[in-house]
Amino acid sequence: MEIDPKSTVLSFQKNLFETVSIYPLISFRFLWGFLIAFGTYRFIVNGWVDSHYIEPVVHFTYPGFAWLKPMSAQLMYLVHYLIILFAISFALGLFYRFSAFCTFVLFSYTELIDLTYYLNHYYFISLVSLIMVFLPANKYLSLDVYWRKIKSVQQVPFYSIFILRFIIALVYIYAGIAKINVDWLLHAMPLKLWLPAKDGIPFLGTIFQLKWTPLLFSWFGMLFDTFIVFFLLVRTYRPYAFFVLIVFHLLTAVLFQIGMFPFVMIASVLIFFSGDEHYRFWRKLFPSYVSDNKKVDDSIYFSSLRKKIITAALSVFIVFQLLFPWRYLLYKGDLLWNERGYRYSWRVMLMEKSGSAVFYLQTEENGKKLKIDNSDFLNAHQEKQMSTQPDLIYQYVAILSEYYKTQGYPSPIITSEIYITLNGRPSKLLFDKDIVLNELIEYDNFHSSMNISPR
Amino acid sequence: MLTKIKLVFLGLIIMVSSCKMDEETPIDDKFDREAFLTNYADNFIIPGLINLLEVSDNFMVTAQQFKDSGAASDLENMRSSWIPLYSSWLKVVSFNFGPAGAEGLRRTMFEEQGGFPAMTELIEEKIGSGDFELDDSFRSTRGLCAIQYILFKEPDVNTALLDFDQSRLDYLYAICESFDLFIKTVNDSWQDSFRTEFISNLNTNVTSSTTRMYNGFLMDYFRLTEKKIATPMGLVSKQTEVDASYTDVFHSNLSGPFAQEHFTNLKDLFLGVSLSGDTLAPSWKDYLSFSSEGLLLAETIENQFSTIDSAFSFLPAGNSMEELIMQEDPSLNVLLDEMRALNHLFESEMSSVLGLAVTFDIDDGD
Repeated sequence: MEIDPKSTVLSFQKNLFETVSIYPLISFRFLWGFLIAFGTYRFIVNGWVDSHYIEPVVHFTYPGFAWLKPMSAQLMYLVHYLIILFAISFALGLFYRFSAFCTFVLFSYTELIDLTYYLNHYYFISLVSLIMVFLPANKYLSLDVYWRKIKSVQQVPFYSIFILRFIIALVYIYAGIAKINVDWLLHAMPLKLWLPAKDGIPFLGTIFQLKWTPLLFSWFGMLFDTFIVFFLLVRTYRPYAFFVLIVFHLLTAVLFQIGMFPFVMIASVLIFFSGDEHYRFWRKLFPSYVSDNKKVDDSIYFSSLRKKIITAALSVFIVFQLLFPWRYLLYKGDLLWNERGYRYSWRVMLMEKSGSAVFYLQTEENGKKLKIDNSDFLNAHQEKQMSTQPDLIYQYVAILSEYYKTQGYPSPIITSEIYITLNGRPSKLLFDKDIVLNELIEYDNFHSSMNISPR
Repeated sequence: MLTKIKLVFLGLIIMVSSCKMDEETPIDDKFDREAFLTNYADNFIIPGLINLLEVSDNFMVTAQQFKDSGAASDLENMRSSWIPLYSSWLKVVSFNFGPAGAEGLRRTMFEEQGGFPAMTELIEEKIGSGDFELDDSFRSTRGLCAIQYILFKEPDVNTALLDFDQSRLDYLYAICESFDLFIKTVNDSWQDSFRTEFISNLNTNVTSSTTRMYNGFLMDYFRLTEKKIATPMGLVSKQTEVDASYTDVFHSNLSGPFAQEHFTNLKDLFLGVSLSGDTLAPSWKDYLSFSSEGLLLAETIENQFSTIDSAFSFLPAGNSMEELIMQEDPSLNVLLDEMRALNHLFESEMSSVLGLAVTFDIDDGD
């Protein structure tokens, strides 16, 4: 069978602009906004504004974002209160695009301050918040409609739903594909380490002690992640798939300290339910406001040029998201060891990695090999993250080198003993002990000087 | 199709249910964490605290006698009875959680009663002023190392006595009493209710008994290597000059024997060697050895213990550790390197294999 690229593109474009019910988008807007608001409230209550942004002496920066700095304590709290405010405004559909944009910008700002706090679901939230800025999620059941009197519609272009489904599907499928490896499927690692440690949980704890449980859970986890989306897409299987999904995520919430992630995902997958299903929910909730007419307005009928622009933008986004997680193939070595290309690729709870990073300073002035107290520079979380992630070690060595230069040591020699253990294996040195790390940075051969593999 | 799906779900439910109900399913993988915690509570922590309190009570008798008499013989008695007191302290100091943990303004047992080096100038100021503030933030003006400073700062007993005016005698007694009361409170709490709480908290999350005991162990090992040995040797970035007064018990000139004893205690704790000398299971070693990954790690740790024991035995005889530090004796560097070689095994590998989080802030204000 021959595939005509042009007709495929046209067909794809035609589908993207088919009109569909707005209700899934409304549900998504509502849940997403309130989850961000609640998550940010939780962040403040837990004292993380201080511990993440105010107290640390140094921050690890994202590539290209070294200029981004935390502000004063008062302003950082203000930023978080504003996130809550804009997220609620976003959820209620009030000044929707502005609120969505501000939520995206402020949330991303807080996440981009310190790389050690990177989490897949923070990245996911930033990404989806950005997408939401461009979607017409305030066109019905919103304060923009009731107060600001913008035109209401009940039908939106399919791309509004499709792009959200795509990014959610990508998270699951790529998380599943990442689990297709020898450690996960044959050695049941890291669940073999994690589950027995959770044997105190009533009933489940007994199951976690069984020999075959980690292997069973490993295979189930891989199959679940890889295929759950396909079951969610089929109306017949959807309720069962959603039930399994809830059980799965609640289980992960009980087992692991992964914060809001399970709840974000449970809420997000509701976008896979049909317009009718969402309509029935909203109809029950607000019977006097919700109708089932298929009201549309001209704003959803785009010109040919606009369709092309939207299609092109979507295509670029999709292709980028599909390819970017595979960039690790461009680097030599073991991904789990060097972590080059590990972030932004939906590798969720994939490995047990622990490290002990000790750095030594030698100077011409002193001649001794002095152990550097990492707690002079880093908090416990930063140190823990740094001790296993080579790009953070790179940044830390640069910080140390600069610091000691300002302390009257023009040529500091920084060496290390960084032991890392991966999935229960005996730990290995990341660099040979006599390698001068700050010289590696200077001569740009940091990564090539790392010991190759933990295996 | 729907029926098939329902059947599959039914099958899965039956399968899971049968797993739950089947009494013959071998749960041979289960590590008995309750027995593990019970072993440590009943054979290490509580007997250790009882022993410490007994020794402390005896010490208080000598303190009272010296306070009353101010006599040389009573000072000597006090010095003699301080040594087993510090020895008993080193057996329990790693259990720095629960009743010994921080509570409100009160810091941990170690910080309140074991801080070092003693703040000698402030101690003299307090004695001079007669203002015996025992709740201020200058915690190293009290506790065992401060007591040691007052007792041993002048080696010759008769010369030392010249300094012992009433204010000094009163201050010494006050901090001895404060220590005794603190240990009594911790001991009572363990025996009243905390034991039950401790052995029933079977999880491994950050507030669990296992994780807290693990972190106490790690922190104590860190104190031994970095604070008691590396810092006086001038081998940390904060302290680059050699200065033996940074050891915990510099004035008694007993840093060496106590460092070795401290190490032996931690080794025994890991191996399950109790106060009575019996090896009691399940210990940390048994816990690790329960998995194939941990078995190798436990062996590696045990081998390293032997290497460190040898390094201690190679320290030149006839010199105190304080002297060896000041002489920058290379055998101390060998010892420190070997001791530091255990750090990553304890901190990263043990944490990883047992699924325990390292939660302590390594700079806890020592």
